[in-house]
Amino acid sequence: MRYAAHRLAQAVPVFFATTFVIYAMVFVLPGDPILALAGDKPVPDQVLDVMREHYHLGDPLLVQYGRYMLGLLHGDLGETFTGQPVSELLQDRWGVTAQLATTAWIFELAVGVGLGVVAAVRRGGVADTAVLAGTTFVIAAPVFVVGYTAQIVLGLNLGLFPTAGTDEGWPGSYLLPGMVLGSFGLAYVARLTRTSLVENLRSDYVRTATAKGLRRRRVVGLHALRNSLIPVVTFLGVDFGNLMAGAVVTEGIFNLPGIGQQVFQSIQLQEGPVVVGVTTVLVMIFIVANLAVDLLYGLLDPRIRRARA
Amino acid sequence: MLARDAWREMRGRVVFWLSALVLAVAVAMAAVPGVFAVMGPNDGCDLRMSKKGPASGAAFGYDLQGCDYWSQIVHGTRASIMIGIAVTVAALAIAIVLGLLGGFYGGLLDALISRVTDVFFGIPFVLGATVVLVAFPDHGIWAMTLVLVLLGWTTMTRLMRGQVIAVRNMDFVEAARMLGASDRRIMFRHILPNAIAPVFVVAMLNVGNVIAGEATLDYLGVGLQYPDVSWGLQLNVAQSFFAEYPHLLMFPALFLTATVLSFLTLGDVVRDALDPRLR
Amino acid sequence: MKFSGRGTAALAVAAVMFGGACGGSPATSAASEFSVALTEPDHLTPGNTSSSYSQTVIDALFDTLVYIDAQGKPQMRAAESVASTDQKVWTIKIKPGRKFGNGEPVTAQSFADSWNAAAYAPNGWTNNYYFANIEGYDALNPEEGDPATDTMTGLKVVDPNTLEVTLTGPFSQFPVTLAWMAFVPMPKAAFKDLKAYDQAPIGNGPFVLDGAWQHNRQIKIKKSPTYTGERPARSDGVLFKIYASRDTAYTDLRADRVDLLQTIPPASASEAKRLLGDRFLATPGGTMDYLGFPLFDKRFASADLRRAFSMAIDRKAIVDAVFNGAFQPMSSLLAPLVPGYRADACGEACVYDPAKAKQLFDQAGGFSGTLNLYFSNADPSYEQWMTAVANQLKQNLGIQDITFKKLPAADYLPTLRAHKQDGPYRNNWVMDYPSPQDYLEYMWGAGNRMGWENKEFDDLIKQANAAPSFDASLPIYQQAEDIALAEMPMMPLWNWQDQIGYSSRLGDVQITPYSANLDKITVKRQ
Repeated sequence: MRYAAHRLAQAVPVFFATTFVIYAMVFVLPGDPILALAGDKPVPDQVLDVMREHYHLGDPLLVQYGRYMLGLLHGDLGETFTGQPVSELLQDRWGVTAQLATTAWIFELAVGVGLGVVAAVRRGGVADTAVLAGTTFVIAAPVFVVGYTAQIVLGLNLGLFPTAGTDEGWPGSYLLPGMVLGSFGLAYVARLTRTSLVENLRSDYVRTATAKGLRRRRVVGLHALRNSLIPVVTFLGVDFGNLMAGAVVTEGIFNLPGIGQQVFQSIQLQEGPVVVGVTTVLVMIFIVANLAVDLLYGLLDPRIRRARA
Repeated sequence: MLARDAWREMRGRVVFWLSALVLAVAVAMAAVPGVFAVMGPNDGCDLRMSKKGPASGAAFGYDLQGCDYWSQIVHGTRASIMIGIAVTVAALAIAIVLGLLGGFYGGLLDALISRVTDVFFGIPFVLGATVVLVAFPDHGIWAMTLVLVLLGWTTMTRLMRGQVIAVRNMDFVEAARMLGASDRRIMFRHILPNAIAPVFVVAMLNVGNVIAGEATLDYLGVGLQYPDVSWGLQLNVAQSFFAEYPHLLMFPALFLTATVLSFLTLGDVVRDALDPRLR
Repeated sequence: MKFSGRGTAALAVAAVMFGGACGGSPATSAASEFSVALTEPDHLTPGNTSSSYSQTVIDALFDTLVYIDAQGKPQMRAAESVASTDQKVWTIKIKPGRKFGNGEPVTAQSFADSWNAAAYAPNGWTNNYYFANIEGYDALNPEEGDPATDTMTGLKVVDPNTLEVTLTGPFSQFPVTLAWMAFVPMPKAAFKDLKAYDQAPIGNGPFVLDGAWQHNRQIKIKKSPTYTGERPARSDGVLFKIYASRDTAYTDLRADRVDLLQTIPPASASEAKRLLGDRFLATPGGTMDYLGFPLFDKRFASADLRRAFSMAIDRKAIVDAVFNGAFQPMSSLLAPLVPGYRADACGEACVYDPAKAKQLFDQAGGFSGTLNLYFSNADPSYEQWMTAVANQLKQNLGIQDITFKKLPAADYLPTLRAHKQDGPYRNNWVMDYPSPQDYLEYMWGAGNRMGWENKEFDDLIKQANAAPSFDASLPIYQQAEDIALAEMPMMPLWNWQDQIGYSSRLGDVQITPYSANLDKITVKRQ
């Protein structure tokens, strides 16, 4: 428990470091976001200055950052360029992304580990080759190719899933996008499981357990698998954050109004408050996820638990 | 000795030769595209032949600009493979160093490295790319490599660290320590070979992931651009038109899949041969 | 394989989920409602947005004083008459007895309030500059400090149904501009809380808002109970479904999950035509693409060089390859639906002739250094056609060293404004109202992005603006266009066509370049 407390205390400097780094990155981007909003139309400077004043875009970086952090303490995450409070915007969007990321994650975990186990146990056989080949194709195809193809073939032509939008709620609207989003990670998880399991199946304690007469399924499922899961768990921990952050393309293709799309648009518009707001929450999620993974190491491998104690 | 044993095991497998062959061809195409391609990059393009399929005379048909698609894909090999390998090698090197240091020493060093990875994890892909590209307005291959390394080193580092933590408590490490081995010797001679297998798997997977990642950067508008040629750029264009012109998608996808498959298979074979626990 | 109890339950759940997901019908359940695909609007206050997506919604919620008919001529709508003897003082009589959606009466004061709010600089509204030629505008937009007043002296409410507008000078195009959404009225309720009004506008049109604007998801409008005008809604309501990507909207149209889409991607136009048959329409719009030159860079100083570039570019081939022939190559600075358009205004300078182009190019002294082509990364099609342009310039003019400057959107327009570009750049224009002045003055007039100055051109524009009538102004605008084409500081490329598709549920779809006419659409009984 002390370990967890230490880690959570470390989250504070990370929070400040990240918000500052992101704020600085947006600040450093060339261009004039307010002028860009006017588009091709000749909006007079007086009008643009009103907007610039409102968002304090003329101030130096540290002043803007300080103002933002003070606002944060009051729960004010700033405003978008269309005047919507960022906190409202994030509330709207996070739910969608969380549902999408969770669906993808469960898909990765369940199908990935399952395929990996099958491939490892039947190493060298047809199933093994099929899994290896299948995962390769998925990795080699960029996510937008997989996404559009899945949408057209499975959604439009075969009618198995809704093509876009959130009308069907969870899980209906999120099944196909979840599978598309999770397909990458699935390949990694399957291969990691397979490799790790193959290694462990050849180790001494497995031979001991088998020699002692334990059933194969118990040996594989309970003993070997648990020890093989360390790299898988690490990857899944990392991937949950990746799924949240990297869903830009998938959200666009399936029209899910999540934070991935929002961050992308806001970066194009150079909407600092939105980008910083979203990223800060994301980093916190990563911190928690990585902490959970580290704690899980102890659970999965008794040797680590012993060493830590 | 290890190398000789490994070599003896690898050379017996058909899969090894097949994938090595494909990769050799790919590297040759990247190194001397002139030998394989009919035209130079973006050369001899006639807009009126735009998107015509293989039936019209050219082996792979024509792309959107009316250039010979076979030549364009051959020329695209260099950018894609170079980015794929460079990013993976760089990220793997960083992962090994930081993962070993963090996982082995633990304490403050580990905390520092881990928190830095947390910050990098949080940086949105597109934002990081856009900022780096401000410094490199030509959006060239090395700019792309830098972007993908900066945004991709964290996953393998965390994996490596996790593996080192798992391995450092094993008996043979204890044994080596009791025999008086130095930290460096323990890390590189004992822990690394036993920890690296999953990281190596991910690294091999990453080559394909990086090439696809470059395509995604193109899709988001922050990737390579003319006059560079890459499979990612070709896939990106194909995505708008492939419903009526499937050849635009199929040919670069074919090359990409063959290359990635070969990397993966080769990687599997090499790992199988080197991993002490599998022997 | 044995089916365990758990397995069967899982299968049953899956069947229900999939079954529910199949054959999705649009979320509109009422008999006579339909759905329209839309991109998220930025604001719904008519004075504070120039986005065409906002315009689609505002057009349904508000009645403008005049509307543009299919021939491009202004016709009365909320106004009874718009008259002037000297093109400077205009008397606008509005039709009496009209109401806003909240029951408030529509009066001349409602118009004055709305226009003053847009012209008032501290409000920071985008459509501010449309009122720049009304007397008293300058007082609301001082260079320094806050304005002393918030009403323009040039707007006088003579009686509840008459508004007198005094312009700073005669402006023959004034009646046409009144069709633009910035000129609609606003109720007094709006001014109690402008921020809330932006999210929930109240207008004088055939529809009213039904429920809140669910950002990035949907906007729902229903038939107005208080509307007494000429164009009552023929349906019960419209659901605007908001899409981030028009490719996805198109897929949903094919899946029958949305009824109307006005932005089918050009690359899918031929497929759409095949699948939808006569439920596919291609209507010409007022949007144009141009290629501008930075005249402040000495290398582009020669008009001959610029004309050579124009002759070296095969517009038809580019439109066929990149846009599947869905756009129309242009030989005029104005779009075809603008009165005063001449199909061959440009003459040989816009006809593809590589040999003549090379000749003219060499004659003008050729080009030295790197040719940088500028465009934003907002859409992949920009890079696609720029690549075609680059290849053509390479092949036809022999310019070998060509690189792209693909800038993020937030950086692109500021770069052009600050004259920092050092090579040809993509310029796009969306028409506000069908008048040559809307193109020529804003893009070639004072302070333009090319850094082009021509006194004769500026004088002709002034002259045309002051002409005694709209028709009398056209030949003068055409003379100005001739000068701009002869010097070619910016060359015309092509005119956008809107690719529109709709489902079999809809009838009476009469979409013009100026309005989606959602009020006219009926829903067929299935």
